[in-house]
Amino acid sequence: MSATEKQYNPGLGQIGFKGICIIVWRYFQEKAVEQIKSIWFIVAYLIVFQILFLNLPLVYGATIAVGMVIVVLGLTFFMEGLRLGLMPFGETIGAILPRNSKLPLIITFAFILGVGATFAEPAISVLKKAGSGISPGEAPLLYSLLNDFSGQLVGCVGLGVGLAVTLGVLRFFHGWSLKILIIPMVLLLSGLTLYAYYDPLLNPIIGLAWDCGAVTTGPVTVPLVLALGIGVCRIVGDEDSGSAGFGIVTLASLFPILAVLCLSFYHYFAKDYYGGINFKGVEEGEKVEIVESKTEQTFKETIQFTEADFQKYLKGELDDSYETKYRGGEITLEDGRIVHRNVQIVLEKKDTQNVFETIIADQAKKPWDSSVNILSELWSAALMAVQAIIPLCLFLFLTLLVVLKEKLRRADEILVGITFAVIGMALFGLGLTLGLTPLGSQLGSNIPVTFAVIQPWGMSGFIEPVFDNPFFGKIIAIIFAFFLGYGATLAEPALNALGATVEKTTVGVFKKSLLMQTVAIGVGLGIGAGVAQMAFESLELVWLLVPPYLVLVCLTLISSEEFVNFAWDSAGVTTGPITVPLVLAMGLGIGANIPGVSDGFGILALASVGPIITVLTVGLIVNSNNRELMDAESEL
Amino acid sequence: MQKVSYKEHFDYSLVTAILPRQTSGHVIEQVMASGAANAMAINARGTLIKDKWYHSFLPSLSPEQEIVRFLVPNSETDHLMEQVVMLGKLKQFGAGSIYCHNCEELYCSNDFPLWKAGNYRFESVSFDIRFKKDLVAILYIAQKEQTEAITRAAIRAGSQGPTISYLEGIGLRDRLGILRITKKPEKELIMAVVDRYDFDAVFQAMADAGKVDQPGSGFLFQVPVTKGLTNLASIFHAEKHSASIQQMVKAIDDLQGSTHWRANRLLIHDKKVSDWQHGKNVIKNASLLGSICHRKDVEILLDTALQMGVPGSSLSYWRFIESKCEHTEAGKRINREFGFLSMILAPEKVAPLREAMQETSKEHKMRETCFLNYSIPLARTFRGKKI
Repeated sequence: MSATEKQYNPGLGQIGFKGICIIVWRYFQEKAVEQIKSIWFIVAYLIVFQILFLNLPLVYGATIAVGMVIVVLGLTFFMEGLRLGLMPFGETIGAILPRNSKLPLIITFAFILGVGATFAEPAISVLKKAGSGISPGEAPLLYSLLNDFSGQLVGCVGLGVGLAVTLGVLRFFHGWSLKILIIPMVLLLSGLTLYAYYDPLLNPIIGLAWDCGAVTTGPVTVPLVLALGIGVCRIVGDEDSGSAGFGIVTLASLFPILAVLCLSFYHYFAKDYYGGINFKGVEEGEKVEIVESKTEQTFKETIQFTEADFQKYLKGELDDSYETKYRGGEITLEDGRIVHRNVQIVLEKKDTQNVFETIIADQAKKPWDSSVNILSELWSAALMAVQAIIPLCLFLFLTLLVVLKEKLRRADEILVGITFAVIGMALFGLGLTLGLTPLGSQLGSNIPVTFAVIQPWGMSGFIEPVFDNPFFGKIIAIIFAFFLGYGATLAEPALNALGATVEKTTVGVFKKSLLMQTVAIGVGLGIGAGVAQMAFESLELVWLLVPPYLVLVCLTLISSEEFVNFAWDSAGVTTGPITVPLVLAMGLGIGANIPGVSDGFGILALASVGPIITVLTVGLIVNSNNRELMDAESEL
Repeated sequence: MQKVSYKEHFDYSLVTAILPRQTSGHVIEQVMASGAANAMAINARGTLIKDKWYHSFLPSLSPEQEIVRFLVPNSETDHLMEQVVMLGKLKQFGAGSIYCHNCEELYCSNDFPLWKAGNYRFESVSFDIRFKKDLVAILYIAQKEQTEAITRAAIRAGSQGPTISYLEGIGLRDRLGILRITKKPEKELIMAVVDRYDFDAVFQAMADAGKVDQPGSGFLFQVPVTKGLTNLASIFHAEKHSASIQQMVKAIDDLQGSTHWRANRLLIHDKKVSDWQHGKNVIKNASLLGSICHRKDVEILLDTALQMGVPGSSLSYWRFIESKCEHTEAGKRINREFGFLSMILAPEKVAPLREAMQETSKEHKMRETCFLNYSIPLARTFRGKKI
């Protein structure tokens, strides 16, 4: 036998070091190219738009380039980590669970997993930090939630996700339809949101509540929860359809919204928020602190007169490149004349294109953002990755070992996978800070230049609109927003994982590319609509949100269970680490240039409705095609 | 624990049914209700090609299918197949396909839930079904990326839309140690059931499209079919009432009672077809050794096979549907999963390998294991002669 064994078992020894290098290199190349394919569109699009359409140079070009390379590396490792480690791990446990244990144990497990996954999600810590940027005077309830009750808030979100995962798993055991769970839920949420919308105290909460829903379904939670569901459904069920195993993600993004809304309603009625009757916190000290940090944030350096200009002005030699503004004073009507008293007259230098071009030249010389410290960024990204992945995996491992008493098969593969996931996530985080976020936010905040005067991101000075016709400029901005949403969605890692899972469970019936394209177009449409709402002030947000949600409910009712699962899950997944910063930057950029609009909340909400509608529509088209086919056959 | 021992069983057949998802649940349920012992099922997808250019702009999905396999005593195959044909309305165009082939040898551990003759009660009510005796199944284990080209070529050459399911290829990958992570194990199994008449053309077309003679291009083989019936759709229609060319050919086939009227193919048979038959990539008279076992035992058996020098093997996981099984508290069925390990070998290597694997299974006290083998008249892969 030994002879045959040699013949057929080349083994590692015979491949040699060079052979190993070739194998590893080919593997790495293949995977990296895969990630480049998913991300190139958004990067190329942003750069081309900035340089060709807006005629602006790229600020910190070198930093962004390095960041992009790191993003690709990070995604490569992370997606492989998901494929090798996290997903098989979750699937194994899901498949063993229903056999080896009773229902109460399964429910407990699901609940703990949900809560744990929430606390591990890196974005949840951002919520805690976000509190400092809010002025207690403008939004006292929101301020209180994020500062005085931040523990309760995070707890509530965790509880929401825990309940969602539990319900999602129970659903598989009972065979409940996802429709009967989400339709009442959406109606309830819409009702509460509408009520909150018309209450000045509760209004600022809406954004927070809906963001919490998006935050909980991140790139670690989603694949893990999906895999778990698929594992369970492989074992449980009479006839499984392609949708088996999906739906938990949807519930996990809806429940936290409800939890946060409930918490804020509780405090609203208990009146123990900042400035309320029963408020117990400290008022004065914090107020001062907040004001300080705010002034720091809003401070902007603008081009003003120099000492030489001042001397010219005194001599009366200054040319016309200034504007005169009047500040303060009282205005009265006296004897048919309008009189300004005690007025301050301020001369401000007009910013012309000429002045701006010299600034551009200056900026182009600074390709490297010197304020970024790569090592400390890497360190914090690595910490975040470890925090997001390791505790969850330990929990799963202990469950497997202690509770289910099973050995982990292919343990080495899973270990390598988890290591990859941690490395990948750390690099991805670093790459986002270095590359994608600066690129996205500079484009996002520059985009209003198509129709308004703005101060370009990372530069000083102002710039005139690119298009003379503001209507045309706004249309360009909307089209830009569409492709921004489209491209960012294609690069989203959690959606990639979802797409791959859908393709795998349906044995290739539902192709990953079809799902990704449909979702991306949906997100693009949603974001485009959101920008339209901001740019054309006549469009009320309510009117943009309510009809789509009504359409959504109707579509959900008439669609097949399978597509309802895919559509809602992909909506929960789309708002991830790539889309959110880009969209928020754009929302803030546009909002800052239009009075009365200050955040990108409407855009994000629309971005989650869009993909549900498109996926369900595609589902209906496909089903009608198939039905025609079936009809044609049965007539024979 | 009971000691594992093996017993040889004779006269068993493997019945394979390909059913659309819409009917498969109902069919399985009814067959189970008639006293069938068990069935194995795996998800699959069918293939449709688009006959108009603009169809490629519409979103469309391949039809969802399920492959159901029964290990049945020969005396009951007819009844079972008749029942499936009746329930699944397999006489209609596009409704599915069913075929059966003999297991030459079957060894089962004493606790294996084998289908015993006599329990199955299906009264065939003068249901006139003539099964075709001249069908051949062509199977191609290919890389995912090749599937599209292969199925397209198969349909062009006269096959109905092939059925595709997932399986794991095992071979080189598992000898790489931890470096195995660099190779994807996922492969697709393309299955086409064709008339003997179309066999040469379809086999050749699939071989060409998949470049089967090049290294790493998969494994193409033929499984003899005792009898069967096939009726799968292959073209994506938008028009409601037009019959496809496949439908018309089939209608004439049925009227004529044979496929001989399509004799023009004889003229196309040229030297090329017979040339490859003598190449070093062709294997004639091989044997397929299959092993059905618990999911968690698969890897142990696989290790034995690899140690014995099996060049490659494929593995798929099937839902094992039993008439008696556990249920969740909420009344949902808890299915078991069985692995189906199959390897293609020279006939003289089958017996030693099976015995070695049986020894392993006794050593590890594996429960419910079964080994079967049947002949593979023709197979083609890179350097196939070596097996």
